[in-house]
Amino acid sequence: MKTSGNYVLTPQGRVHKSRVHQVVSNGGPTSGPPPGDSVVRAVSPNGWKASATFAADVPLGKMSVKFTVPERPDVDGAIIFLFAGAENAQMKMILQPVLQWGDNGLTGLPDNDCWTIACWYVSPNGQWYVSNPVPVFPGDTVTGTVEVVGCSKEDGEWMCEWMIEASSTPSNVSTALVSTALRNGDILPNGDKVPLMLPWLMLFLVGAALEAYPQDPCCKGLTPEQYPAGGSTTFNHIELTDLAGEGFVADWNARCALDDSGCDCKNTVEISRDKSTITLNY
Amino acid sequence: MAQLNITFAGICTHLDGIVSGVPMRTVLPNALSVRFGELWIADLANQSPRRAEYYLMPHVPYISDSPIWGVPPRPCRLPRVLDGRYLKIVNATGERLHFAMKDGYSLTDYVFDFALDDDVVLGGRAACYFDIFHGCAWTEGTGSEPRITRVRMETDGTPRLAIATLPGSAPSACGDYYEIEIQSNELFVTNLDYDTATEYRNFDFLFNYLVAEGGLPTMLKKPTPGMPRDPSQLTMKYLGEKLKALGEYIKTDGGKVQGYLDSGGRIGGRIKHEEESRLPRPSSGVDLSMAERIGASVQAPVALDESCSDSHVP
Repeated sequence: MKTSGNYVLTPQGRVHKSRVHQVVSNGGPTSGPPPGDSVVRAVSPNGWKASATFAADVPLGKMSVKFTVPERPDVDGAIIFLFAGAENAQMKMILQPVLQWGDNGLTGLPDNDCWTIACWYVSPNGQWYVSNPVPVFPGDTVTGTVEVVGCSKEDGEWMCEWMIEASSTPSNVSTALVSTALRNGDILPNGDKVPLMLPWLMLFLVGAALEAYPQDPCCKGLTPEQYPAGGSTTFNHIELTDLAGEGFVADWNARCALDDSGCDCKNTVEISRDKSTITLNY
Repeated sequence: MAQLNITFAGICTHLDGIVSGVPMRTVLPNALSVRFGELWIADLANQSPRRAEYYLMPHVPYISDSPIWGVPPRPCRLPRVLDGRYLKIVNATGERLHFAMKDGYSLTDYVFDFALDDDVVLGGRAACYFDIFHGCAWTEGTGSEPRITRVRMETDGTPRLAIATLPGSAPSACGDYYEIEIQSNELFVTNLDYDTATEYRNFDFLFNYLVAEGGLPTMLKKPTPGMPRDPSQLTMKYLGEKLKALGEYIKTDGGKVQGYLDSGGRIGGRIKHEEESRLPRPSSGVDLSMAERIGASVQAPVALDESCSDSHVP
């Protein structure tokens, strides 16, 4: 187990297991006392190493992105997340199809380190919902989709129902396409349902992001060998549709984090002139 | 006899013995505006003075009687947004307030010349004054850790918080003066702000200087808490993105589907859309102040990090 005590490393930082609800048939949320909400929040995740983001002028209806599963890292010891996603205007929640390297304590992960895809929904009230992770392999093409499937008025307020899906088309034609999804109403092991009927608009888009942590929480940082071999991942075929059904183009802004010592960013982000391709170099 | 514990976390300045007759006044400045600019940092580990560009997003002062965040503000009760209010515990008893341990960040440490702005700290041009007369205060956090300030006091019965309207502030539907019983015996005073993994929060401590004459500084002796030693430069493009996000948030009444439709947006394409069967109703938010409208959308309290630490004078 590569996690720290009762905490799981998620694409939004370290989270108590009681807050992580996994849609799986062979397990569920780990029981235990909640960590206690506090008016003083924990420090926000600092694991976003490189990303391309955009504050949209129009609310998102659908976002679809493709990228290739990179080679495994030369050296184990990292938890890597590569994803696209959508957040509300307050950036208090995120819908994200995620490619993950490493064991962060989720149920259903393979015994050995490998790449998996899963869909995550971080709710504004501090709950994390995740679909069943599915193994994928270097060279496979991952398609991540975040999409509104319907809007209606409930209890006097308009809401839209969201679906998050990650699928992988194998590079080996003899292998079947695999997918995993998180949908409104998916049943959790405790009988609760995934609440993806949301009153919020998705106005902050993440076209591509690399998030990385050392598996050992005492370890300060990652070595270059702990990042995926190959040194870069390109997110392409980025398709965006607004809530009115019209396509639009995001003018992505590149962001990369300062490292722990406050030195300049080691990662870089390249965005194609037509904004349809984002390359994260690491 | 009961006991009340107060936690201050976020942008606020504790004035220790400066206001006549008030042992400790905590000033929460009005930080509702987006601000951006540049400043110079004189002392950067034997390097020459360096320029840093920054932006600050709105911070909404907020008080709650519960550590659970996300509870919408309630009329004439807690939690509530503080938009021009004077606070005081009316039934506090015991010894006059003293600061038992003051290891917080002093505003005088980071600038060459510092003077308080009388209009802000005395004249009511602030989001809130919280005057404390009894009990014991101390700061928590040392070194490069974030700071919070706590106050413990005894009260004659269940603590009662008086809320009055500061002169010149918007009137309250609850009246210019009312009292609330604090059944939880706890108060949390903080700010609501934007939270994002990509937000550039390194400069938030500058908001504490809204209590200073001249406002935000343009020259620092040394980096303020939470500021990296080599602040990366803010691009105007990134600032524009942040402002657009704020604009869309306001236009759609807190970034909601309902607000989008009310502002003339439509739902189309392949999306299933169940038509509204009832007549449109007027927005219920127009009577709220700007601070309340921003704060009512359940933004999160500021993160516990260095840059969002509180401050004190002297």
